[in-house]
Formats: sequence, structure tokens, C-alpha cells
Amino acid sequence: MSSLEPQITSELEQMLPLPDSGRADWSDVVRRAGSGSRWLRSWRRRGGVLVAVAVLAAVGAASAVAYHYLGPSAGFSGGLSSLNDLPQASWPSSLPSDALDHAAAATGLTPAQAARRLRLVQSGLSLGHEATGDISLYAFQGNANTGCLFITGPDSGGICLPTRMTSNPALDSIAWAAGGGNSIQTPGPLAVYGLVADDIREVDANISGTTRSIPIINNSFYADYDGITNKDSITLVVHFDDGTTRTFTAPNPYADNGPTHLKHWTPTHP
Amino acid sequence: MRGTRLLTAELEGLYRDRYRHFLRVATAILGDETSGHDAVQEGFAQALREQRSFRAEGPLEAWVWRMVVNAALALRRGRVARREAPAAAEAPSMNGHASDESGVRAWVAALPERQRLAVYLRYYADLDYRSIAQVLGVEVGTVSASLSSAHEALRRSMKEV
Repeated sequence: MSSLEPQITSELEQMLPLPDSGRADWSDVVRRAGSGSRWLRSWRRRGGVLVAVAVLAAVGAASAVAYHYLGPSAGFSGGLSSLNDLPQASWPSSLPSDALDHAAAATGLTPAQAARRLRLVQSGLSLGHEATGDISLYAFQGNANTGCLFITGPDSGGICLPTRMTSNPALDSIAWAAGGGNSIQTPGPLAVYGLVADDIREVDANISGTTRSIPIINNSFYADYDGITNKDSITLVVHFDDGTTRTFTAPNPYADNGPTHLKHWTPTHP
Repeated sequence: MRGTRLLTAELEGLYRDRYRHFLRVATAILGDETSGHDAVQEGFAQALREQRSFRAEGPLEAWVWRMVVNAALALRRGRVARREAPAAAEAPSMNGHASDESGVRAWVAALPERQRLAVYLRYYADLDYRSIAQVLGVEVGTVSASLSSAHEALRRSMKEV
């Protein structure tokens, strides 16, 4: 024990004494647990994004999801053809089982249909210095150009383009997210991953001016980085078959002084 | 493996026993007690919702602490996103005492986020290093190093006064 501990204890106690328990209300906790999270309620009020947020919240382990409204999207109208060629996969045990149900509902499928369509699109992935190779990507194609992608590992989660968001060409063909693992220490790791339609030829990630081309495997991409600081900029450049390019900029997940469990982020429309 | 009903009872017991400590840490993170209470309620609500995912790889209390700390950080992040001014600065209020910017308050405010959280969990929640490591998702050695660095920073600041 440090010789400073008694002094620290005493002065911290003076700064913020142990509060009384007058506010304690277990019934309020139970009520909140039953009615969805505060963040979901606040999103509900904005309308139209409940499905997407509910899916993310259900999949995203123990965190509220820092999530931006995607806006309506054309979805994966370019097709997700490689998923048809892959064998059916089992739902990963590391993800909550009810997340698949929510994702199915958001994409116009029954849970059984979603389970039948589930595919393992990438495996053996690592996050930064945590070179464990135990991160995998799963995906399924929903109805009406919708689809979902799920990630396992230290910062498990999922992203969907659900049925309610399929009318804005700005978001056609791609759903992606950026997250920083579960470290709050910088420099730290960063994962950039997503699901892309057949009409996307190439995806480049630009981290503070350094561009790296990310391979597209089974209509998905994944790149991990190490040594990311809160000063780094994160941009995704998407190249389409018709020669057009679209650029997305993501907020740096370390830039708001480091939540304990860093958040995935999905883009607003450009 | 504990059943859902038993775990719910344990969570309620933990809430009743330790509510004040959870509230103190959340208040320290958020700067005001009303927001701190909200974070505690949300953290426990999330623990209730996700109790099936508790795998007993560590103490239940550390698992819940993680939920509460994450809820507090998310609330704070929401404020930043909405550009709301926090009710107080990063460090907790002085409880009516005049600010001592060269003392412990300034020291806490100047710490990097992880060290500050480790300090709150150590001194406001009275958690041991292993539990703090589980809450923050880091190794025990990292907690030890974080607190040693924090102590060293305080030692230096005291010499400068």
C-alpha cells in the first residue's frame, strides 16, 4: 500500500462524502430493465430508427451503442451473392441468442429463416496487438435488400440495414462500423469492418493520411489497427464498379476521453 | 450456474448493500448526483436485462460495476454529443469547500481517464485491484501501474506546492 493512500482517502472523502441512500429505488431499476434502455427510449422519440437501434443494442454486449441515424437506404441492392455460396453457419455462442431474433425481425425474416441464411464470412481475425485470431464475422441477407453483419470477439456487436431504411441511395451497398475494442488506453486498437454489396470494387481505410486497401472477402471487409490515438482521423473510401467513389468519415472512438467499452460507430449518410 | 431468479435476488441485494458506493463513483464521473443516480439505475437495469450473459468468471459485483461505470460514461458522452455543459467539472465538487487546485482535486482532474477511474474505484468503491481490473477490462498489473503512476503524479504535485 502506498504511504499516500490514507491522505488520498481522506481528501477524496472530503471532496465527495458517501451519499445517503435516499434515492435508492429498486422498483425503478426493475421498471427500466423491463422497458428498454434509456438510450433506446430517447431514440424512439426520434422515430424511424427503433429497429436499427434495437438490433444494435441487442447485439452489442454490455454497452449502449453510440449510434448515428443511418437514414433511409437502398440497402444492398447490388446483391450479396457470395453469401449464397457459403454453407449455413451456427449462431455463435458468444453473442446473445435473442440478437438474431431482433435482427430477423428488422430484416423481414423469421428467426428460423435468419438462422438458415446465417453465414460465416470471415474468421481468424485479430484486433490490434491482441493477436488472438478469435474474431469472426457472420452475416445474413434479409428481405428487400436488407442485411446484417455480426462480429464476435472482445467488442462483439452487430450492424443491420433494416427494412425501414431502404430508400436512400446514399447508403446503398454498404453498412460499416468502427470500434476500438474494450481498451480505454491510448494508443489503442481499432477495428473497421462492414458488409458490402457486389457492386463495390474496393474499400480503402485512411487513418490520419495513411491509406490501406482492405480486402473484400465474402462481401465483407475487416481491418484492424494498433497505436490509434485520440488525434487520429478515420475515413473510409468506397470504390464502386461504375467508377464512382464515396467517402465516409467516422469519429475517433478514443476522442471523447475514452469510455471503458469503446463503441462501434456506423455512418450517417454523407 | 445460478438461475435467473437467484441472480436477480443477488443483484437486488447488491443494490441495497452498495447503492451509496455506486452512486458516489457515478457522481464522481458525471459531476452531479442526479445524473449519478440515473447511471446507477441504468447500470443495474442493464445487469438485470443481461444477467443471462453473466458467466461467473469473476465476482458478480465487478460485473455490475462495469455496467454502472459504462452507463455513467455513456451519459457523459451523450452530454458531450449534445454539447450540454456538465453539472460539474471532471472531478467531483468540493462539497462546499473552497477549491484547492494544487491538491487532490487538481490531481484527480489531471489524471488520464483510466487512472482516474481506477482511483474512483479504489477509493470511492473500495475495490481491490483484481476487481478494478475486471471492471476496466484490463490486467491486474495494469491497474497497479495506473495507480502507481497516479500516486507518483500526486507526490510530484505535492513537492511543487
